[in-house]
Amino acid sequence: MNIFTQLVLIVGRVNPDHVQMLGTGFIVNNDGYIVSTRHVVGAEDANLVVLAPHVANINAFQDLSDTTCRPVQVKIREMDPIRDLVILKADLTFNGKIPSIGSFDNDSVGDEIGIFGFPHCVEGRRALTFQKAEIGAKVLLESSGVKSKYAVINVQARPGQSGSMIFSPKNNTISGVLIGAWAPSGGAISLGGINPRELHQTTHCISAEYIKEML
Amino acid sequence: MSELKIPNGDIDDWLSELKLYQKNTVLKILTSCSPEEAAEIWITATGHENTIPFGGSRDTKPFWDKFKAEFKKFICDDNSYAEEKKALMAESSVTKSILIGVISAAIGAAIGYTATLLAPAVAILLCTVGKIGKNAYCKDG
Repeated sequence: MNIFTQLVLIVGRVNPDHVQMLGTGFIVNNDGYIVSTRHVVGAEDANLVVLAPHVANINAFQDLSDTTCRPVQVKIREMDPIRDLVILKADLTFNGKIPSIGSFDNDSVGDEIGIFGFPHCVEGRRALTFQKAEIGAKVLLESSGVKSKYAVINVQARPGQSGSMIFSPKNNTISGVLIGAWAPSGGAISLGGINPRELHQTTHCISAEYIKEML
Repeated sequence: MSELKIPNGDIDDWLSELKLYQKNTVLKILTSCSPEEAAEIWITATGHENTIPFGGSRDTKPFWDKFKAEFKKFICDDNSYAEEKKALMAESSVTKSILIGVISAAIGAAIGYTATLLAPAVAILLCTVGKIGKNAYCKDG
């Protein structure tokens, strides 16, 4: 499990007086390639960074009052706006063994998956968090005429978790990337900055096979 | 300075200069809309419209119009992007790949967007220019 403390990172943007944390990303190969979502990084790589790991042991108590960080500059290498995926490149090498990239093809409904990400990081909270969930459904979503494979996982996600790694313990592979919650557009209201339509116990994750095509 | 020439070619030729994931996705988009609509869809999309994202900051730039205006400037206005055009002219052979790369990088730097996002849209618009000719494209409002 400790390997995930080194693989899963916060994506952010350096501002004059702080780093704005935008979401989650994860290392996918030893040459410093990092996967996240297009909506997390936006469309430009100016001042875009990942934060170097702040803990080495997943069981360590993460000090939420510690605001020090080590930003590592990244550049956008590839971007698929239809599938909401992005590949970043950092000037770093990773020497450990990284789980290979799989696909939801190899996971079944009812299988348990692990989610590694940073819920609430967009609100300034840095806590690498592990969640377990089952795959509730495998669906094809069409966007602009392009159909893509997703898994609906039975857990509620929160802002900051976009770009989280979906890990399959059964296959020991990265199965997908957390994208967001199903909430049909139109008629949306906001209560205290929260859209009640996103508050349900499921989350959409795109199959990791699309990452392979981008590397 | 001699004039920048945009080669004629069908959309497959232009899209073949892109990464395979870009080409395949754009070809699917093109089955249901015009080339210009496909270019707009590509660069303004942020995933599925009914999925609420959990991160990032909202992108509110009037991106498509700005991109299209800059592309037109590059193609039609000799005084714009002069350095990039000069560099292109210095090449012994300006391939489709070089054109896409140079124009995407130049416009991306001007409007603050990553070139890799712009490249498919640039390829589509260059295909249009190559087909109808530079003069006709630049005359069209």
